[in-house]
Amino acid sequence: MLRDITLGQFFPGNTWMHRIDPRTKIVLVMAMIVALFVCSHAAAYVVLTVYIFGLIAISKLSLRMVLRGLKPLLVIILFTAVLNLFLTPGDMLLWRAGPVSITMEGIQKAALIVARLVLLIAGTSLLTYTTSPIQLTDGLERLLSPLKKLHLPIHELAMMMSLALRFIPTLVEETDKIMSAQRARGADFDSGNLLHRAKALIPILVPLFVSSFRRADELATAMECRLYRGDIGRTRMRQLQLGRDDAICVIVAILFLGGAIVLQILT
Amino acid sequence: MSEMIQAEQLTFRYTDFSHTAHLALDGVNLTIPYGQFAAILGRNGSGKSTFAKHCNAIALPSGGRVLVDGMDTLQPDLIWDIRRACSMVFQNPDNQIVATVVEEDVAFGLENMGVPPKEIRRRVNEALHMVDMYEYRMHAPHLLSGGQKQRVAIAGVLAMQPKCIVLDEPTAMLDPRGRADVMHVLHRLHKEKGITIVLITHHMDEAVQAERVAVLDHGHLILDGTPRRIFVQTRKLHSLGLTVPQSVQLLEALNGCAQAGLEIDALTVEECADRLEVWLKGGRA
Amino acid sequence: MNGQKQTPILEVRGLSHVYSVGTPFEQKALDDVNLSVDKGEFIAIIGHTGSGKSTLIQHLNGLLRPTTGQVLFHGQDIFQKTSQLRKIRFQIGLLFQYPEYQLFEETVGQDIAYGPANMGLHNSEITRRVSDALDAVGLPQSIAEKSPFELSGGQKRRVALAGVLAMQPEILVLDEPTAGLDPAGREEMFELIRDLHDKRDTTILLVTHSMEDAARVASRLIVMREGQIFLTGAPAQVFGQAEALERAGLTVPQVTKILLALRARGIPVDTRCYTVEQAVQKLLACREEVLGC
Repeated sequence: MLRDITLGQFFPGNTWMHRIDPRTKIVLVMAMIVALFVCSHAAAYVVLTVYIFGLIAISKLSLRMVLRGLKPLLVIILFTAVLNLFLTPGDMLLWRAGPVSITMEGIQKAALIVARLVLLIAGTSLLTYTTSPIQLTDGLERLLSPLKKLHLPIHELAMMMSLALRFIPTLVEETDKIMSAQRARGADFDSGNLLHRAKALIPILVPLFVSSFRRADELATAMECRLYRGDIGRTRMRQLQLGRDDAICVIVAILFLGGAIVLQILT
Repeated sequence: MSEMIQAEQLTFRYTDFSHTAHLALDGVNLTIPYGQFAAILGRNGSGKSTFAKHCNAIALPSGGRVLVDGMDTLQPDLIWDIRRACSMVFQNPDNQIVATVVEEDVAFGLENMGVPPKEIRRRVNEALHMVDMYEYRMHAPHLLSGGQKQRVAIAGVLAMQPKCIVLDEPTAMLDPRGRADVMHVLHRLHKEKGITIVLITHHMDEAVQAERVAVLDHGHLILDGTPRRIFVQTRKLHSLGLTVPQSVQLLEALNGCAQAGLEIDALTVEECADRLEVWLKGGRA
Repeated sequence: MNGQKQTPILEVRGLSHVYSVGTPFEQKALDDVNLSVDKGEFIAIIGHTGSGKSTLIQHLNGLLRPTTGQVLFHGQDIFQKTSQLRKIRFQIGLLFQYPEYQLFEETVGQDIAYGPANMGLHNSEITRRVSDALDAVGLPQSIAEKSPFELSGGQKRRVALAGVLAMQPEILVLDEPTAGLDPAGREEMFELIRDLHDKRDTTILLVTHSMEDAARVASRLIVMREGQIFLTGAPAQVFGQAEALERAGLTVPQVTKILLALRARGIPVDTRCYTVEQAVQKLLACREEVLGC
């Protein structure tokens, strides 16, 4: 069922991590991504793993939940890992069959890829699990607000993003409903070749499009009724404020991420 | 002295798929004074929703005019003042909730109005209390029931402190419990805050609770009066595709088959029981 | 009832369903539901939102898989062979809530033909069924060439119903078929469903949250509450328990309330009724009794 996908979802809570300013979290996730791509050495990865899973523990997210988020991407992870495993040329040949070979370098590279992707997903889902979409877009909007001076539509983009996030669950639910309705009329989404399957989607996509347009139209009217006029003269209920916890968060991040990078450079 | 809503010779023309012109509203004169709880009743396609859209300038008259709180909706520079005076709640609660957290959604209108953050917080909390949704302020709207979502939507407009709220079939998609909760909230807003309520509906049991009922059909105002005067016109309402309370039907049926001679304008259970009690004990044959 | 009992056309045994197992959203929607439907019955399933009624009906044609328990169609477990599930869906037609939102084809005729085409029927048979289904829902044949998107709301809903009827199911399950319709539209829809039952001998399960509507058309009511069957029986039996119904978040018809109010005032009136006509009879009988002696 579509509703079982947990990747990118927000889990309401009141942990320390939930209370950190979204701007801090966004910046730190960026830093984490950089660190993950800069580092390739095992020692550095141990540090990064401790850091990320430590934060997950602090946020009281169950490990099962986080790993479940990996599920939709499992195929991609395995695919890239296998590709790297067999196709990396190297000196330490372990096994060979025609053009395919396994080398020590291949094993290392595959392991690195798996670790990198798993940590990447776990780390970013830490952000989405503990930050409400509205805080997320709020944070992004404020981080990017200097760009408004260049006449970039930052507010509009943030609003679009937050509306998209608001309607994802609604549309997922609706897709589920339409799929069930068409299944009840004998639709078969799971068999046949690619073309056949693509065709089978039409009875879902057409109603979904029609209803999305209707929703968008009604939503636009409702927003106008509530005096929405873009960014002009808008205030916010929730003021973002950086505090002591944000400072702690940044210091911890510098220690771990910086430590990992230093290890990488030294070894 | 102006009225809350004043429609004069209101006409609205639109063209359909096959480019034929239709009149959704055809010369409607309807005035709703400040502080009234009015229900606008009519079958699908009667023009009642189109009327609602004229109350805060979502739709503009093709003929005639509408004054909202004394402001003409045809004047473009008044549009935001009109919408501030008269808010609107729509049928589908999903399509009017903007934010992913209940309290953020209630704050949306106030943020647009440029209200200071502290004041937003105060009004949001107050509005959520008024609709009994305060405990749900941190919830995600898509996990709420239809009735709860609709109450959040009402809180969202309530926080903007309008003089009038127009609701376009707010209960059509709700189950009985959700409907009852929404109606309860509307009566509370009317009584405690003195807000003018215009309820568009095809549920006669909701219209019964109003102070005034206007019945539209084919773009015309057909009946207008107190529920007690409207709902005894069983045949007329039936011909308009509407029903009357079972209490009225019951008393009328007894008059028909047993010449009971009962007054049929009993709209509530207790009223009807009062009359039946007298009759059953031989009060009048 | 005579001694020998036929196999019920549909049977539900010990059905439970839990949503989103293992996430913070885990939720038990059905809890040990048992139900048996005989051929030709007209049953109404009543309950407020979240009572599990929608979850239940999605099990009846295999759209949802039970967490535990069975669904038997003519004595056969429908989940035994997954390959058979699609065939079962043609025999147990399910019309969802607001079904007009599932229409997708260019013309009404093509949309109605979607089900029969999925069954692999011949073109001539499909054409016959489409025209038959349009008849059954009271729409003119000429509408078949129109786009579903230019019809009125009520017409769209009939087209969606025709789309299910065209599969000629033995059992028809309808989820809130009158939701959002005005009183006249509701009346027409019920007329139509009653005809499907009376004239075409279709077994019908109607899901609704309106007691009035349920009482008017069904011969048996099933009241659900918190994932369980809470009350079941003929309408008169079920409405006799007004207090229990109100506890389940359901309201009894206004006439029933009126008679209950009279009874509360010590007037010996029979309150097991739910239509105006029945109430008139009960009141006449009561008056005779009160005045007679």
